[in-house]
Amino acid sequence: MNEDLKKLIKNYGIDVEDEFLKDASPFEINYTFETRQYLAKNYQLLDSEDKEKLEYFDAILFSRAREFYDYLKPVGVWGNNLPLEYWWWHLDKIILGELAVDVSKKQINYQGKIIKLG
Amino acid sequence: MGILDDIATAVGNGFIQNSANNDAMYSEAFGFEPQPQLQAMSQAITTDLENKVEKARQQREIAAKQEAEKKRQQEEWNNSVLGKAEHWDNLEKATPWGNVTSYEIQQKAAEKIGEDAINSTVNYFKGAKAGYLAYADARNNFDKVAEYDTATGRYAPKEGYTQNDVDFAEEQVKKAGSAFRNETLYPGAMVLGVLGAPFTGGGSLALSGAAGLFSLGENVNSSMEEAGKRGETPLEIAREGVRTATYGPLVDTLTDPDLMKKLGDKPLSTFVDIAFSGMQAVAPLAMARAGVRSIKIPKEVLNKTPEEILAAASAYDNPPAETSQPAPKLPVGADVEDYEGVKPVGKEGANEFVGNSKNLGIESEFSVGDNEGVVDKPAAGREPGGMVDEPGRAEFETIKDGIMRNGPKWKSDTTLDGHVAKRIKKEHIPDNWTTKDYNNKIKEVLSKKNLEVYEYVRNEKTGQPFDQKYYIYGDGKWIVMVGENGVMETAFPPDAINGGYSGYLQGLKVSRIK
Repeated sequence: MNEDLKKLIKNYGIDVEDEFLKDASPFEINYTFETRQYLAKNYQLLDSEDKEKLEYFDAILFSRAREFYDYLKPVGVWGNNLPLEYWWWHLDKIILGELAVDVSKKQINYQGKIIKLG
Repeated sequence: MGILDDIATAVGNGFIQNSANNDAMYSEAFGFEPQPQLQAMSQAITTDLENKVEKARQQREIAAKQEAEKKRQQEEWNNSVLGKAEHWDNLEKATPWGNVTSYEIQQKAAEKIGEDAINSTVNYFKGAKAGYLAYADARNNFDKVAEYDTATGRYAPKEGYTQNDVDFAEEQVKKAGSAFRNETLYPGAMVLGVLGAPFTGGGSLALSGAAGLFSLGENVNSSMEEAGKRGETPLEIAREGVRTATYGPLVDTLTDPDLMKKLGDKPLSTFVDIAFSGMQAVAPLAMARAGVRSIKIPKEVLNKTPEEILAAASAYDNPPAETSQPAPKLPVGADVEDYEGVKPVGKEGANEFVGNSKNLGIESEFSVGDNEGVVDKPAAGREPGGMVDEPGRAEFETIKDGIMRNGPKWKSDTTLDGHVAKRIKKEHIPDNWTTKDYNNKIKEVLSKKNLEVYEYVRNEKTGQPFDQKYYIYGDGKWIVMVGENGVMETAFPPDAINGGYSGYLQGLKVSRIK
């Protein structure tokens, strides 16, 4: 189980660190976000090293929010009603400044409202 | 992490390594036991640094490869007829078509026609290239398994192969060659010949008759062979074949000054565009699939790019049973007056063209030339979809057939490289796999007996429809996603822990259609 989770984290990292995003399929990135959601649901099963890696990759995704937002437009995912805790599904709100993510503090700030993650 | 964290980490690491070095040096000098924990930490830092350096090197390598590919594509484009045709735009501005007088201008105008035609159909050549490559592959494979036996005058199996291998390889060569000629070259010659008839007096083109068309076969083959001997690329060879079958005779004909003046009143590029749109949409059905008796062309088809039309048209493989419908009609003289201001061309006087398709290895007869084309009037805007409607053949089947026959079609070579690199990184495929191996894997999935097919039309979270429909083919482990335009989207095995194959499809809320 733990090895599988490590692999998911690794795959998530491969996509968020991908310099050549335009060569990937937006549908595949969509799947990567599903992976991230799965990791969120199983966060308690991660060891400290995994959590650190996830935090690192999250920070990269957050810093590339605009890029990923643009790239996923054809998939039509923005404007969904998923929980804000799954902030990667809400990059549209992040680039509008409505939603901020502090990965190290494990919290998000949505229009002034602080929500704890994990 | 911020830069201060990075600096702090680097300083800390440096301190540890320095301490470890000192520890090793003093322990050796004074006979102490080195501190294992310190040495281990130092080793871990070194390994980590080495990994980072290696990763950076790999990234640089990929970037360099992609940059080189971009450069190559740019050079290919610069050297293409499109790039070279630029000066003709200036000439056209300086010398209106109606005032062509000097011989020099006529000559250049004749060249312009050839270039313009090629210019308009550069994407068509890509299809021709694919056809040629399939043929070349079959030939190479044949050469691998067979050798000519001078004693018997027949091809015999090489060591390690059987006569069955030889027969099979030979059959593949015939099929690929036939498909290339019948579906790519001859239809082009036929439609251009028919549409060109009003401008050339009907008989001056060597293309406007079955006999003339058939006689081109040898010329086409020999011109391509010559191009091959000159060491030209597959694309150039294919272009040479098309040129011989179509533009060559046309250009020769149009050196006639009177004819040039006639053409001066007609927008040639439009003429060629329409000819090739019609050719790509209909000819493969009318000719190569002569068993098809009913052809309906959705209005979207003629608004598609030549490449898209070619992909749609070439996806046809198994013609349905013959029906009692009227004979197929090409869109000669189709009502084009509403084509965004384009003048009608090829409508009046298009000679009736009746060909015996047996000459081309096809069993039934076909006729073209009737002005009552079966083309729906195209809309001004471009709409997604719009495959040629072949009764009884589902779109997902024709797409699959196209991939099985011509290989997966990717957005670009760079895209394919990127996909392969990612599959390797994610350990979906062995690290020594090439793009060819990956494409073969896709074909292997599509050829599975237990193949499942799903339609994916809207986002599962928002309900927003996509710009086009996608088909997802799956074998229980891998999924292969292809747009209805026939272009590959992605192919990978969903992660087992995250629901795997079935979990992935359930998550997308897709409908199974097979």
